[in-house]
Amino acid sequence: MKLLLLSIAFFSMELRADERFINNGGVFSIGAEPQMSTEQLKTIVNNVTTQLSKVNALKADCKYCEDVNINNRPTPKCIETYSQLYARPTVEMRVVLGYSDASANPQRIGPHDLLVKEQMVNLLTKDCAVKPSGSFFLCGFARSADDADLFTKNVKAPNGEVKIVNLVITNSSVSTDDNQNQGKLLEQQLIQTERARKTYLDGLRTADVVLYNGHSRKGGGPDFAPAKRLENTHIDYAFYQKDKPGLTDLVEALKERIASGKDTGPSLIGFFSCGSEEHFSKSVAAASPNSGFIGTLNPPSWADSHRGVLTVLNAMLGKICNKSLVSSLDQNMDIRNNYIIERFWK
Amino acid sequence: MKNFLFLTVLVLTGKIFYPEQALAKAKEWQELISGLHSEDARVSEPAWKELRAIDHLEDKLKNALTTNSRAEALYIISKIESQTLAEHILNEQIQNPSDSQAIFVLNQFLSSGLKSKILNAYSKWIEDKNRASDFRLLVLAGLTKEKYQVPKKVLVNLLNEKSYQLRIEAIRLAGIYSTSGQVLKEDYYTILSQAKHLKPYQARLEAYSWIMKLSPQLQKTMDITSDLCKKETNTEVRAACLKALKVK
Repeated sequence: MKLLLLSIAFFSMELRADERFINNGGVFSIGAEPQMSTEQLKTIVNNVTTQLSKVNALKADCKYCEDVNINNRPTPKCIETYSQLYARPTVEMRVVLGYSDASANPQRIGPHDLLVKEQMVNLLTKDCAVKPSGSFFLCGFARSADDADLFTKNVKAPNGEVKIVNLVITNSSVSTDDNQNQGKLLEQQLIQTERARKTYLDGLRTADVVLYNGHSRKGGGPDFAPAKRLENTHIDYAFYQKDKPGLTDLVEALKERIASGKDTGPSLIGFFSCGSEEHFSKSVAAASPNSGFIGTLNPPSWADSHRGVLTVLNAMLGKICNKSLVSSLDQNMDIRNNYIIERFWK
Repeated sequence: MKNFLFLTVLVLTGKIFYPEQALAKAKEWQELISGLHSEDARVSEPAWKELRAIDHLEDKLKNALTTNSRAEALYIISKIESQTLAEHILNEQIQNPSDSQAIFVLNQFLSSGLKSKILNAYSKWIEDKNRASDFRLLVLAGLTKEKYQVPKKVLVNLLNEKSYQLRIEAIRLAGIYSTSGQVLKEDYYTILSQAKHLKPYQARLEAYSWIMKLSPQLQKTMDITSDLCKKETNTEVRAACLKALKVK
């Protein structure tokens, strides 16, 4: 019996150490808990994806440019916020999916940035005529004929004017096989990494909404490349924490934009990654004080990150106000009250 | 609680298994799930043979696949070296709509006794337009990992898929095959030549990245001219085209 208790104590210690490692953004920092259920999202996706084929939103003379909030007496703050977001004829939104290290461990299953993008594309390009009940705006996008990352939709501004939303979605992995990406497909991986990085940084320089779903690398992210690892295969966090390559690029891009005097920066910058509020909020606020920020307090599961991006994107398209946005970010998440919105509402 | 802890210890170590002592008392399969949440936790095939009947664990796992706990159940199954469970997933996917999470599980059984059955299903699913593109992408990844050579006809059909990513993957495979150095029965390199004109631009870029790796002999067949490069509207692709022209 003593032996048993000793074993339990010993292995419990190991388990706690393992949890600490994972929570601190270990090998799989985003999906700290791999048991997340993607059921809810899948239901929404399947509802939409299985029913209709092609869509041409631009032809639909804005039949689906709904706006529940404007009809539901939104607060002046809400109207002001979305009036600013929709001030220009074209509203630029970007979602960049960081490099997923999931396949580094062949025994692990879970969403991968390449597949998450594909699921998003399937969702966004479906006709809005058939959609899940409620305020659902993630539909009716027309896909560019020559750019796999560009999607367009007509959306009504709070003043009733029809605006064009250009949404760019880029992922970072060239295939779902981490070894292959750093081996036979290295050349393609380097191109894809640079494409994702450029999409993100250009977004910070020019776009209105920029959302990142990926690894925080303990403050060294956003990261669009395979993780830098130590000889023992653990991620080299000392490097990320010291050099902060992603954050440095991010701050420079924002500062460049503010210095140009063209505008006051992106309306919203979001980080759907581990503990992003702590890692990124202050730096973003210092570089672009008027930009809204959305981040997490704790490591979100992969599913939560994915749902978070979709929820915020849906809110931006539907001009959903604070209370509803907060509530929808809380509902159906594996971790409650994990998302925090700062400086967005005017 | 004691049982749970003991179960956790057993599963985490992955070395000792005394199912008759602790696991026989397990009340819920969720306890097993908790134990398996560690990255390294695995249940070996012999261990599972002893465990599966306890409190109907195997049935509970199978049943969980049809509930809201499906993702969790799939994760657990991926950790158990059980061909029976994997075959259950395979049959489920043969009959039901596509679920890419299930392919993550099946890809882990590609080196097991189920290999031929899985590859047989995959070779059909890759052409099945009724299945979701993310599902098919993962199927293709599984085939590639197993060095299964996708027939040229299938790849050519993939070039016309609605999913841009599937088109890109088809070009990539044609590129891999054409630069493998092996003598191949099919002239996959012609797909690369065809893909020079394909949309989106990312597909053309992929094609050029492989064209440049072809043997000089095959590069000559690619029909790259300065006129072709001039007509290219995307600057990135144009640069790749000019580079390929120079190499040629």
